[in-house]
Amino acid sequence: MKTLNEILKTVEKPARYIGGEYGEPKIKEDKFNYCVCFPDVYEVAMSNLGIRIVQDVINNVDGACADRCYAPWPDFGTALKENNLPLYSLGLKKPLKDFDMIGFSLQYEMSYTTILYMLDLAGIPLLASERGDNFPIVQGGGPCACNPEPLVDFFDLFVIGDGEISMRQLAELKLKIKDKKEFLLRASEIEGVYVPSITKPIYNNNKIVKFEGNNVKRAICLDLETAPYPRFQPVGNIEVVHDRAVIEIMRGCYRGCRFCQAGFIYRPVRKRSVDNLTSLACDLIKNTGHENISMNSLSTSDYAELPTLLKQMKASLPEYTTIALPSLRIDNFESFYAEQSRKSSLTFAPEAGTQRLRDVINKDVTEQDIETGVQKAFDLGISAIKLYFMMGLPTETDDDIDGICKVVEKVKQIYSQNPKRLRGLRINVSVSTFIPKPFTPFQWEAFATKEQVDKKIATLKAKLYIKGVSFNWNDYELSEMEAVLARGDRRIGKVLLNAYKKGSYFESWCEYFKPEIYEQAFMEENVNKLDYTGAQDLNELLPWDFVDIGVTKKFLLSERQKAYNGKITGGCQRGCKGCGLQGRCDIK
Amino acid sequence: MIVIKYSKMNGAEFIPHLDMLKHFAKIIRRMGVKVGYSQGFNPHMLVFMSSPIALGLKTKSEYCLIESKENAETFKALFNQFAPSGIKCEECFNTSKKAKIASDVTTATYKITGLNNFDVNEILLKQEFFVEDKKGNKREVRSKIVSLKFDGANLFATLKFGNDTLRPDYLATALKAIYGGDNIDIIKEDAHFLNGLSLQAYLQTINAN
Repeated sequence: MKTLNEILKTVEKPARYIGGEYGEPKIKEDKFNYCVCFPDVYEVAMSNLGIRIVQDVINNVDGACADRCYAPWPDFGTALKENNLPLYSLGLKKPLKDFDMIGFSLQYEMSYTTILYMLDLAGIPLLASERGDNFPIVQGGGPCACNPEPLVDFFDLFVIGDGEISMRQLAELKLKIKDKKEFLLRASEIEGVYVPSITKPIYNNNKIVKFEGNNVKRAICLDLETAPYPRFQPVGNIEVVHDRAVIEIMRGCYRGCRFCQAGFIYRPVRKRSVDNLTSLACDLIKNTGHENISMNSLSTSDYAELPTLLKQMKASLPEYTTIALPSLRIDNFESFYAEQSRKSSLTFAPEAGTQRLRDVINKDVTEQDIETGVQKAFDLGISAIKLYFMMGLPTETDDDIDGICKVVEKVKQIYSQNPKRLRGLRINVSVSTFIPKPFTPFQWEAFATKEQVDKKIATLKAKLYIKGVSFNWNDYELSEMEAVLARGDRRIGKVLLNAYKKGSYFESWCEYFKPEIYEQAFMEENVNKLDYTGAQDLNELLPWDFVDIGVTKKFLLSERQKAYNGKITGGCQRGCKGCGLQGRCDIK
Repeated sequence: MIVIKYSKMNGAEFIPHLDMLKHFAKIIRRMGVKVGYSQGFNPHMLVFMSSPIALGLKTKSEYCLIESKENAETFKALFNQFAPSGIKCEECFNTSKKAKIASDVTTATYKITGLNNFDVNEILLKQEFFVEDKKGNKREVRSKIVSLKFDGANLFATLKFGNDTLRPDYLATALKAIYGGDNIDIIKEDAHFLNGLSLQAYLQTINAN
């Protein structure tokens, strides 16, 4: 048997497992001990903003303490297991199984089996039904919690929506009620809390016929301006993925692109004020020592006061600070956005190759927008451009795939006419397979078949074999599995458990994704993948229909119809479209 | 210029050298003190570190040179206020001449605990002494062992450092194979400049010339 210290000397990047980061929340055990868990490796987990907010919210509750724990890389995980050491938290170095409640951040579907891996390493029974009263309550939250059904076997409760208020309420309730059963019952009354043992779908022949128990309303934190936001953020022991300070300038997106889940599940758009953001930015830069600050949102260039914000930030932040603006739209890109960060490459996402298809998905970007956008970028001296597209979208034809190549050619042509060009243009074309997600107008659509996708990739590969152009696409099987999990129901749980028991986890890292394991798991559990990847019946209940996300099903259906008619709806800024959030949204 | 002697303990010994450089830049920015920057398109802070130490080896004696006119005492206090857990400034001096904190460090003393007691002369009187490196190659290192001293519980080993380094873990493993021991723990206690000078003495020497 080896000690923890001996193990640390043998694993890759041991600094992932020691905690003690500058700026980590100062905590000590209290009456209610909670641990936020992120089912991915340190470098990814440390870059997540949501778990920092949740930790901050709970640490501000009297009598509560919130620690953190991330998934150990397989080398460390194996060593822990071999030496009978339980997975521990990074702050208190306390075994995960000794907390009162642990909460997993559900950011992407392919992290689900990593949750099982973490529970397993912690010595916590995987199935909620086998945990009894002596193990922590296991909770989930984050964007994937809006369809938590594939995970209900393993969780006691989920928080659907924003955590700022609901997590505080949960902590306060747990401080009052010790008994697990009673706590779960009372928790289900909190807005946004879903307890799968209370609200249940009733199946008949693998189809949901009705839901038992109360519906769950998404928790919405309507006022970001007064919402808690940590003014300290831990600085990674080793370089993390986003090694910079982060401020969230806006939550939600006006645009309503029909494929985009985030565009619907985070409505309405809520903003922080310029003054508030400037003060947050100054504090974070001072408290972290980072030289870069990122202004995050789903669509940063849609923040109306962005020019004022940039001006005020530049005036207030130390001279060495650079400001990163992710998620810029090509149709309202302004040169001075890119000037802040001294970058030599820019990313735009036209998403589809033809105007027809861009209208189908309600992207609201014209040919002219693309041309003007890249022109501005080239005028700045940018010589590398990343373009994001999707394939397998509803109504897509060969023309639309050709359209992707035409966009690339057009961009090349614009560059070649630019007098300011210094070197050859590099274009990175990323085409990912469209995955239908819950709570979008495309939630009923089919996921493309392998034959269809292979053909599209072959076409693109041949046509994009151009000097200076590189073409990337996603692994089909990985996207297919994501599609299954995204629209999964309660039957998927046993497939996940089966796959985990066969040794599959860390699938967010494609080298750890083994499609043959899932093939076998589906077969053994007698679950048909096509039930989830195929087109869904408009008249049937969907597994997530018990969640009131705020946007009505009627609106999603009308948006779907408009998509098939090739009609664009446009963004909320041009007037309310009546999605269901009227009254909770300041757009008239 | 400022020279600091710092320790890396309590977990911080697992932070790799390159990340330490980034940490120093961040610590200094948090401290808010004025430091020099390189000239160029992407200016970087003028911070220089002593030779890298093996990952996982605890140390009380690493050096860092910073281009700054700040008062040494103030610098030390601020540094310790803003450093991550486990990284601590032990000594801090102003110097007008550039200290060669990498090339002028020639020996280091390590405290090795967990070895069974033995007579150090058995090793010191030998002409040859072999250790095994990471890859399993045998290497003759007698000339790299400057001195050995047992104080009852701990072995204090002063070994060559710099171009001619002998890693203390190699030595500890070889000694454990001969004399036995358990739960070996190593701490780098001190790193000496030219012929065994402390940091302060070394700075006095170079600044006097």
